[in-house]
Amino acid sequence: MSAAAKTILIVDDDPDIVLVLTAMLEDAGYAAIATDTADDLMDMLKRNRPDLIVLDMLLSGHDGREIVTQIKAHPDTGHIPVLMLSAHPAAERDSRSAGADDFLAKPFEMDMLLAKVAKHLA
Amino acid sequence: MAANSSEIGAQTSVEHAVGHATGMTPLRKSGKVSRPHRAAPGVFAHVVHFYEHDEFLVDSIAGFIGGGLGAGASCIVIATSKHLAALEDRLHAHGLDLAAARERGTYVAHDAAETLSRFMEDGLPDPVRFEALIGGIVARAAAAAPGRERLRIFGEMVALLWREGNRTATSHLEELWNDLAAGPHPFSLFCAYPMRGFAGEAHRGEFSEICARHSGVIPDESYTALDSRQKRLRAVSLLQQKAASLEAEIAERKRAEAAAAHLAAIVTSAEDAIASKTLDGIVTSWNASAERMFGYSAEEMIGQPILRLFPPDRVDEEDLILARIRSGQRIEHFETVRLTKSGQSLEVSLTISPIRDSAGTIIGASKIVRDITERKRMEEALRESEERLRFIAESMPQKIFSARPNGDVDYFNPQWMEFTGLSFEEIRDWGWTQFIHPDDVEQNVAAWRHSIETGEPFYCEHRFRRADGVYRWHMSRAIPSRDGNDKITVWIGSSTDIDEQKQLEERKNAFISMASHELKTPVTSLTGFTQILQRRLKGEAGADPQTLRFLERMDAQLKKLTGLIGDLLDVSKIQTGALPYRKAAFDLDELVRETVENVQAASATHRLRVRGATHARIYGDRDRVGQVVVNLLTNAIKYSPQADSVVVRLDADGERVHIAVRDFGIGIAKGDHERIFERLYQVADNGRSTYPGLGIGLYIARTIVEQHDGRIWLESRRGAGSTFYVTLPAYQPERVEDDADPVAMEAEGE
Repeated sequence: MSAAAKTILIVDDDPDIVLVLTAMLEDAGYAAIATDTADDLMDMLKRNRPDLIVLDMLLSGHDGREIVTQIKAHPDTGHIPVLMLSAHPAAERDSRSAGADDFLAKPFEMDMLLAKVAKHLA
Repeated sequence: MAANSSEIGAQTSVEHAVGHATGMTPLRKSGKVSRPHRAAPGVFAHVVHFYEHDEFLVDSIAGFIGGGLGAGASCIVIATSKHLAALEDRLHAHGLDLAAARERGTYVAHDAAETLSRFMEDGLPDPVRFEALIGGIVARAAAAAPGRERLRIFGEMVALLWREGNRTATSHLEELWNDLAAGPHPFSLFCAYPMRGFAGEAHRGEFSEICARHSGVIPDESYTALDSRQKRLRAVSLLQQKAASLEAEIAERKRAEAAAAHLAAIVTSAEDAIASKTLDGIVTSWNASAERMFGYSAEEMIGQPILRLFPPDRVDEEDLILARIRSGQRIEHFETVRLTKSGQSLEVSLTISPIRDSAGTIIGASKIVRDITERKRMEEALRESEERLRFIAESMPQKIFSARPNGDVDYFNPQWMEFTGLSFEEIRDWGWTQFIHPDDVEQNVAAWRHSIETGEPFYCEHRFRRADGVYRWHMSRAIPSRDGNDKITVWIGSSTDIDEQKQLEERKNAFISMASHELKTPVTSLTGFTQILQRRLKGEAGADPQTLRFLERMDAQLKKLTGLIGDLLDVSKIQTGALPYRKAAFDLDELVRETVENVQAASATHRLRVRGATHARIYGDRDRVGQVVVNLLTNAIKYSPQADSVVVRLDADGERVHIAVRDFGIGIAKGDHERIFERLYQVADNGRSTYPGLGIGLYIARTIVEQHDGRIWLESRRGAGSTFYVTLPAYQPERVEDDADPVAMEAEGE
């Protein structure tokens, strides 16, 4: 599967969600890396150069919307698709206006996650 | 109408007039003569004399009788006692010896009334008795003076009858005299009528008739004093004019009578008692209302002191009243107490004015009495009621206010001043806006203005600043009070401190929101793990099918749980007004199809069918409208456990689209049709205790539909299934949506 080459960065501070996302993505053939904090996110992006970022909107100490704005603003990372996750279904508009490429409400369907990821990596 | 003026006019005195008349031809009169005279021409003179004053009459009779006696004729006088006495005094003064004449039988005097009574029968003169009585008198008198001089008679009986109003008898008696004159003893007859007996149009004809019945008419007063023929002619024409002027007088009198009657009617029918009294306080008039008000009849009061109406402790008022009246002052609306005949106290208002005679001298007082007992009682009742209301308003915990129809607040109960620390003057009219929370002022003022303009009840939830600067939530209501013409006279309002409830509600909503959010995170993990396991197991050969099925059930239950958590979150947001809508135009048929497919996939028991199409687009939140359809479908399935199908019917009429979801289940009793859309309301079924669910699906559905300017309702009968209807406005692109914020913002963190 050519998808094997794609690396996806998971940013979420809930370890179970990280576990679920990692398993789902790896089962689908992606390479998944994860972080539970956004503190050194930009360095991590530069180091790992992921093909897609799955970002939780609510992180302790950080607002997902600010992070996505930062990512999109940087020339090295601005091209990386960001899929925003939130337990708040209505957060989609905020996510998109902040620069997220897509949005997925928690709880989500595995099929839906994989479809969205595939779409942005196509 | 009067006598032949040339004949009468020739006379220079009564004596001569009568003397001459004895020789004159009977006057031809108009056809009004009821019976032709039977007296031989030139033999009988029957003269009528009109007079206004007794003195004038007495002069005339004295001339007539005195002249007759002087000439040796017998004279008969049948007069009122008063006239008789005056006549005899006058004749004595002329030197006539009446006693001697009476002795001889040439002077005979009778009282008119007494004589009359002797031949009257049933109100008419009896001809036989008249003939016997008067004929006898005449015969005896004629025999006493057998000379050539004709017998002279002055008679006043007709005048008496006339005065009594017995016109028929008068006429008959005149005829009897005429008949008697045609008898063996000719005589000259002189009768007299007072002029005042002929006032009024009704007497005009009778006056003419009397004139006609007599051979001579002597005009009143001034006539005999006139010395020339010319003057007398003029006098007679004046007499005619006088008769004519009677007409004018009649008219004048009629007007006066009408005016008097009018006044009398006013006085009689007046609600107020009207009375008059002398300056000594003696009642002189007493109208019908006075009779009603005080219970004394006019007979009982007139001539009595007005003091009898005064309560003992107020008798000194009368002196004050009379003193003021004597000084020409008027007393207006003097409120006092008077007693009725039965001793009951009346609250009255008096208006008393002096009455003056034509010379301007005050001779009494007119008094208008208004019974104000009822008014006083009502005033007292009103005062008590106001006091009671004020007490209630001031002692209740609620803040009360009233406002004029223009919205100016004109009353705040003390609770407001206490709460806000502001004075009434500071907050009256529109001053109250200063203690409304700045975020609430605009909406508050708009709602208040709307109510004032439309008359619709006012309702507002807003925060008031307490004296210590703390804002507290209040719920305010006001309703208009209207007069008989449906015009608003006053707004009455109240404000209740709902801060605690509001905070509780807010905490509750925050809790629901937080709880549902906290629930979502573990559900997200659970769902994720379940789906990973399902996938992995499916990929393995020889996987245990039962394990797979269990995982599917887990997934389905987790979906249900997700749905419930979503509903909880929605409800809490509806409560705080934060349910977001992302609106855009979308194809309704497509949405319904998709939704039906999804719900069908989760239902093994029912077959869902879609009939018809709207071919329309809707401008709204696609997911929310989809949520409405999901809720209706899942309800339809849930409440028709014995049935196996649900029908969705779509249709449109250009302006609006219609969605009908029909089930064949337990149905819903009429009484529940409205309540079913309320939050946390569930229809109880006698057969089963409850149905699963939170009882918020329809509440959310209604909220969403109404937010889209639509309507949701149902038709159902218990046991016959239900049909839920939703209508929404069809999207018309030419109509620019003016929703300022089609996509609501929502803060992260809920």
